[in-house]
This record gives sequence, structure tokens and C-alpha cells, in this order.
Amino acid sequence: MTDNAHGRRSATSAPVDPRNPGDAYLQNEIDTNRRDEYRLIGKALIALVFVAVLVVVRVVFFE
Amino acid sequence: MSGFDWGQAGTLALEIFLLVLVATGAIPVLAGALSFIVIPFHAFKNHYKKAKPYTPNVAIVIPAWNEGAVIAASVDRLMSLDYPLDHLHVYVVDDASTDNTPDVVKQKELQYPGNVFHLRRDKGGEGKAHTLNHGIAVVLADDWMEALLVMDADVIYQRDSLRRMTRHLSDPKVGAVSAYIREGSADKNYLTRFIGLEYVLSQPAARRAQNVLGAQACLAGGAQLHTRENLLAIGGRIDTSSLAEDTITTFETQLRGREVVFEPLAVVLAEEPGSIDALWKQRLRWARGNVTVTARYKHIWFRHSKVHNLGSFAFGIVWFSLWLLPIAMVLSSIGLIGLLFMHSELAAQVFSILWISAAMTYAFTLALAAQLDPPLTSRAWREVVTFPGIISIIVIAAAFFPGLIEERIPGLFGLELTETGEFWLRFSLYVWISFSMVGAWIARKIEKTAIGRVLSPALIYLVGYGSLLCAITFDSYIKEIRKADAKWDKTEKTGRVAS
Repeated sequence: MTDNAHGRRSATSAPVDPRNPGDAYLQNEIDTNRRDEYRLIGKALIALVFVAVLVVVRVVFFE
Repeated sequence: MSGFDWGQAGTLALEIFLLVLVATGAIPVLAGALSFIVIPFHAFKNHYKKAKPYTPNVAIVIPAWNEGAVIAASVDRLMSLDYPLDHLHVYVVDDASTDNTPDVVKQKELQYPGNVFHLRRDKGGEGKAHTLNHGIAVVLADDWMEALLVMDADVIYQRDSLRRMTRHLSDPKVGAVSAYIREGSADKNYLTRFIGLEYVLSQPAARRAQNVLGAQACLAGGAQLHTRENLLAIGGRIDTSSLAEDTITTFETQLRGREVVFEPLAVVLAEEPGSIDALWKQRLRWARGNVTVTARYKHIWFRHSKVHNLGSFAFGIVWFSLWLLPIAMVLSSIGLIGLLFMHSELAAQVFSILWISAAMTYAFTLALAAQLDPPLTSRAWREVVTFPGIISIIVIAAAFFPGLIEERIPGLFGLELTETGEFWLRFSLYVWISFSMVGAWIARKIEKTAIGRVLSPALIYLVGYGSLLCAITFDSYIKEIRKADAKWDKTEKTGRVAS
């Protein structure tokens, strides 16, 4: 488990030789990074919920 | 024709004209919303599927003018990257430095034989592009280099960042890759926190969107990786005719049919200006460079091409919205105030529509951006909350929650607004979007005075960081109209970046 750029723990364990981790490690890192991008959907939904809460407050208390 | 009411027709025509002015303010809002709505689609449309393990021979060219304080640490960090050492050459191009830069680099040359090279320009001060070209000419003289990394002397590459960039070059369609430049000052102040948040919005957020749209606006100056083929295709050198060499390189790459990829997980820490004055100079240079870019590529905007996506409607609207945002703000204010003075009921309605759209876009973008780099945004939570400016948040509240500012809050104190009071409150709300730029300008003017040390940060929190950037863009219009000298002005760096 290693820290990735955004403070999350990534699923790839640290390579024995960081300078030459080998193709299998690098491919695994690419696949992990690709899968992590699916988290964007959840994050966008959370942001949408935040906007929806504002709209609900407006509708309930200010209309 | 005797029944035709010319007065009514004139009023209607004026109302329509003012509505059009107000509508210009909606264009940047819609462009911002478009940019951020496509970000989650990066889950499906990204370059990872085509990336492969790939560690080409990389030549790193670092332009250095009086970088004695930072260059040794920069070279040491590059030599400790998670990248095969026999695939890594570092060329420090010393731009006629007058400090100890040559001695420091020569010492590193001895410490890392075969990996670090000192190149000296006897004539300096011509700008970063000239300095880079000196190094690029040396690098291209033999065929060792397969990829060229252009960076700044003071930035810090996280250990895995270079290999995360090179993997995209395994796809021959890719010409260049950029990384996430993250504000990394150890001694952060309010301004560097605002800049850090701005960089989250403009890079892991907006550049992901540009990956989806298939057109990148700009390779980061401190982290641009080119294939040898791409470098040769764009002329084997960096453009020296403008202040926007990074953007021109990005455009030239894409105009030749090569992709530019933004890699959000390759992180590079950079020191950004800690004062309004330094930020103003840096961004004025960028804004004036963008004027050159807009004019030079006038034949591509909003024109479909089978070769590149720079002419797409989505890319064009985002590009021009940023560049013309201050004009849109002023026109929108003029339209609203005109409608107010005409006692048109439309004023309140279009104000609500405009600011409710802005409020929802702001809320969505900031809520999403806050999740894209949690370590940074959690430290900058005050700047996340106040990013639009405290007064703009009040304006947003007035539009989003009707009656809150005009009735409910005065009502808490047993007060009631008179008709005149309501008129001037509305006037203040409508004019604020333009006036906020004046507040930012004052913040810069008083920054170096005793009172300014306290008042300038307070003003930026009040008027908003976005208004500060708009004021700088507005200044670039004035400089362009006056045809003021466009000089390359190096941003002062002091080695504040924390590794």
C-alpha cells in the first residue's frame, strides 16, 4: 500500500526496486489508476446532492 | 401608422438590448458549468486504457537564472526519482547567472557523472524560451533523447510523477503530457492557499474535462513532457515570439494531430507568489500571452477540424469565457442597472436567473473540487468557503433566497427597507460584480503599506479571489490597448517549496 498523489491509499504495494519496478508493477499501477477514476462519479454525485440541498432549502423556506 | 407607439417600441428595444448585455454574464457561468459537468466522464474517457509501461530515455532541461538557492536540491530530487537512472539526463541551462548557480551545477555534474550536465549561456535575460532552446539544441544534437521534459528550477517532482507521465507516451498518437502543478509552499499564506485551490479547479478538475473534450489549453510550464517526434514536428524549439510559449507549444502539438494528455496523478510541487503584486505580474504576463494566442490562432476558433478539437464549440466557449470574463461582468452590470433605472420588473427576474445559475455552478464546482485534492483543500477550507468573496456570497444569497437580505435579516432587528432603500440595495447588488474588481485593485495598491498588510488579505476575502484574477485580466486589456511593452518578467522564487 502506498500513498498516491491525492492522499489516498493505492492498491499497489511498493516495488522492491522503485527505479526499475518491472512492467507487471507498472501495468498494475495503470489499471489501479484507471479504476480509481470511477470515483469521480461518486464525487460528482456528492456535489450534486450539495446543490440539491440548497435548492430544497430555497423551495421550502423561500418560496 | 398613426397608431404605432414609438415611445413604447423604443422602450422595448432598449429593454431587449439591456437583456442582451445581462445575458453576456451568463455565458461564463454556462461555460464553467459545462467544464465541470463533464469531469465525471473522465471515468470512461481517459487515456489509461492506451497507456503502457514505458520508460524512454528522458532529457530534462531546466532553465536556471540565479537559482543557486534551489538548484542543488532540485537536481538531487530528480536523481532520486523512481525512474531508471540510465534513462535520465538532466541539463541545467544556466542563463548567464550572476550568483553561484554555475558552481552549484558543476558540483552536481561531478556528483552525478553522465547524468547531470551544465550548459552555460553567456548572453542571458532574454526569457525562458530562449534559455530552453539553448538546451534543446544540445539535446537534439544526438539521438539519445526519446522524450524531453521541460521544467522549472524550483519545482519538486514527486518520486513517481515522471513514470506516470511517460506511460502515456507509449501511445504514438500522444505528442505531449502534462502533470498537476500543485501549490507547495511550506509557509503558506492566504494567497498561496487561494492559488492552491485555483490550481485544483484549473488542473485536476478543468484539465480532466479537457481530456474528455479532447483539447488541452496549456501544458504546464513546469511539467511538460514531449516525444522527440513531437518536438521535431513543432520545429525543434520553443516559440520565442510571445509571453505564452507554453500555450503555443500546446496548440502547435494538437494542430499537427497529436494528442496532449493531462495526467492528474503525476504531481509536481511549485512555489507560487505569496503577494498580490507578484501574482499580478505573473498573471499579467499570462493574460497578455493569451491575447497573442487568441490572435495568432484566429483561424481555428469555432471551426470544425478532423485533425484536432481546438475548434470545437465547447473548447472555444471555455477559452473565450475566461479571457473575456471581465467584459462579461461589466456588461452584465450595465444591463442590470439599466433595467433597474427603467423600473423594469425584468431587472429582478434576470438578476435572480443569472445569480441562481452562478450559485449552483459555484456550489457544484467547489464541492467537486474540494474532493479532488482533500489534503490541500482541507487546509484551505476558509478559501474554499470564501472563494467567490464574502460580499458575492451575500449577493448570491440575495438572489438564491428571495427576501432574505431585503426583508428577513432587517426584520430580525425590527427594521423595514423603504422603497428608496430597496432601490439602492438592488443597485449595490447589481453593480457589485463589476465593482469587486476595483476592490481587488485597491488591495494591490495598499498591499505594501502598514495598514495594507492587514487590509489587503481582508479585501481579497471580501471581493473574492476570482475578482482579483478578473482585475488582472482587465489590466491586460488596458496594457494591450496602450501597446505597453510585453516583457518577460521572471516570478521571484525563494525556495519555499516543501518536499
